[in-house]
Amino acid sequence: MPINTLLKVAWQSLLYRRGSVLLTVAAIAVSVFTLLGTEHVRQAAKQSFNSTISGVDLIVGPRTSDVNLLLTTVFRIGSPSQNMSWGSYQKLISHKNVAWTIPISLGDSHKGFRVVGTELPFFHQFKFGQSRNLSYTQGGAFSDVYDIVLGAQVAIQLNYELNQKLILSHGLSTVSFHKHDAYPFRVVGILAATGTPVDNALYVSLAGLEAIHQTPINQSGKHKQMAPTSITAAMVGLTSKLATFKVQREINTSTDEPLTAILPGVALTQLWQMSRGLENTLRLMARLILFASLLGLAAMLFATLRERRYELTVMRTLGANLPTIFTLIQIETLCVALLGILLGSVFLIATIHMTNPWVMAQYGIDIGLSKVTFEHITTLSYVLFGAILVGAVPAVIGSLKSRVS
Amino acid sequence: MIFDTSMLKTQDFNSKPAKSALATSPLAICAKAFTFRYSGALEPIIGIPDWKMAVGERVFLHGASGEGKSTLLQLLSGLHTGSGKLSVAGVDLAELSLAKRDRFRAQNIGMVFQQFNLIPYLSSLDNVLLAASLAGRVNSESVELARSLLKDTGLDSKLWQQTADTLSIGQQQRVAIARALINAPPILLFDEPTSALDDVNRNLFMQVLSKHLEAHTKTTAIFVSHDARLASYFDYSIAISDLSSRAVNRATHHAD
Repeated sequence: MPINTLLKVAWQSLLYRRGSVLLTVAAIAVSVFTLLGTEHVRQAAKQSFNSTISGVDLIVGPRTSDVNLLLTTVFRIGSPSQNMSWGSYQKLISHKNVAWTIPISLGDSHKGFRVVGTELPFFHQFKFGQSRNLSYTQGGAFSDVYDIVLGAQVAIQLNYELNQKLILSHGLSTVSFHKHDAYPFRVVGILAATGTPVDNALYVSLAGLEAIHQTPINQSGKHKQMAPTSITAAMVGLTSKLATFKVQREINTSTDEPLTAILPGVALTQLWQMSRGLENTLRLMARLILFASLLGLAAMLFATLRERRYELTVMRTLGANLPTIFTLIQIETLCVALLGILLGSVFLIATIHMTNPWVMAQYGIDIGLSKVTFEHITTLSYVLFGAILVGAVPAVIGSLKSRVS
Repeated sequence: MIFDTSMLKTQDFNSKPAKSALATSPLAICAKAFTFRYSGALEPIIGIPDWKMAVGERVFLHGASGEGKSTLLQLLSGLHTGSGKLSVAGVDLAELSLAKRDRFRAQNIGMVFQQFNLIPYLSSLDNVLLAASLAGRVNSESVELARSLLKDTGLDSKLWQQTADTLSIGQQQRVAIARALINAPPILLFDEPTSALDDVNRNLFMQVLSKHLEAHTKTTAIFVSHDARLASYFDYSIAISDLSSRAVNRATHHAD
């Protein structure tokens, strides 16, 4: 029988049993969604984390674990428990091997977005992705105490424009009872999107941050210019890569103030090692779900064999040979698997599309759609291969049973 | 309709249709010392010492339930093989491989059963064309032929595109006979096709069959039924028990 005739007969057969077929397709779709979704989020998170910071040799902060310092300063996940003193920061700046530094001061927020106190080097020394510099879609860096620069997502989600006035809140919660409403900041710049946590923060000068936390000294509300007493951490660029470990050791063993200096790449590797167990668990669960859905497919095929007994026997008496019956059942299996893959993929794409802005805002991770990779193809091939494998058993039994009248 | 002719033009014709043996042998069926036993059974259900049917003969086969009438039809169509000689349309079925027997059946045998005749999710027209497709004999004229056959059976053209499971038993049997005739097979086998039909539908069925047999004088037919009234439509009547007890050879004028 021509293959296109077989395809059409198989399709009509599936339509005839659309109830059980749809349930099986849904089961496979869920497993494909979980399988691809887990892998996608894992890779996207890794990619997003890896591309968040570039060209920074050391991150220096108060004594804490490497991963914690990395998460707090770079990814803005968690809250800093301590600060490093301004004096230690000044000492760091004056170190002979230090080429540049970016101070980071955290603690305030605006409508759920973090406010980062920093200095101008942030806008030209900080790099992301493959050593890409920050750029602006509108305006530029802050120059006044009450100037503020917005990350791309902040501007988009809050629909802010240049020269707009906004109030910062004390603390990190979305709803704050302590607002610095006496000292509004003016938007002077909006950064271009980077796909990193940079997009989800607002940037003010350390002086601005210090100013709103001081008590006004006169009725006009003016503050005197004061240097901050502490910062959360500092990103450091060295004059030579060769000095990295030397400077790190110096900082970590200094008796002046207990500080931690970390290499971002090494800390990221530690992070991946820590999360490997979770990754493997998720992978295992996804595979178990796939296994269960393939068993469901086999169960559906077995269940329909009984009701198809006469139909297959009629085909045999019309001259359909065993390979034809086998192929017919296998085509149906493939159709169910392909429909499941298609539905699961479409569902995943839609979910990613809908949730990416929220994930980006909450966690600073861009899980946006990427190109179809070899791994995607491989994963889907496994699903198809599994379907063919589990479908082969009922196909063989179905074709053999069709020999009996 | 799933059997559009444009796609059927591309079918594989490399495998030659089984050569119709009727051109080389005047016997449609020839059995000698033939027995068949289901696996596990102690006694053979079929034992035929000598049986010959000439081309164009139409036999009414009757007998008690369980005597092997349906089994005999399955043997004649190559669904099973036994020991001894059984040639159909000049071909010794035991000498054919399973795949070749399937091919032989598709091209040389038309069958109609009591029930469960049709593929329930295919339309009437597609059920008829499926037989042509399996026989590798679909061409641009097949659709017209299928329509013509359905028309001859008296099936309303509105029902041609309806799936088989929506048809009544009588309507299904009309489609089944159209399907059995689509390849103009030299051998037609009927396994109690009218037992589920009312008088009107039974008479209609027999009229369609008679008309076809009148027009195709070389078509051999075996009609199994418990309804003795239908025997008059056929050349002669024979009991299944007679086949196993004595030589049955109405075709002695044909040289074996």
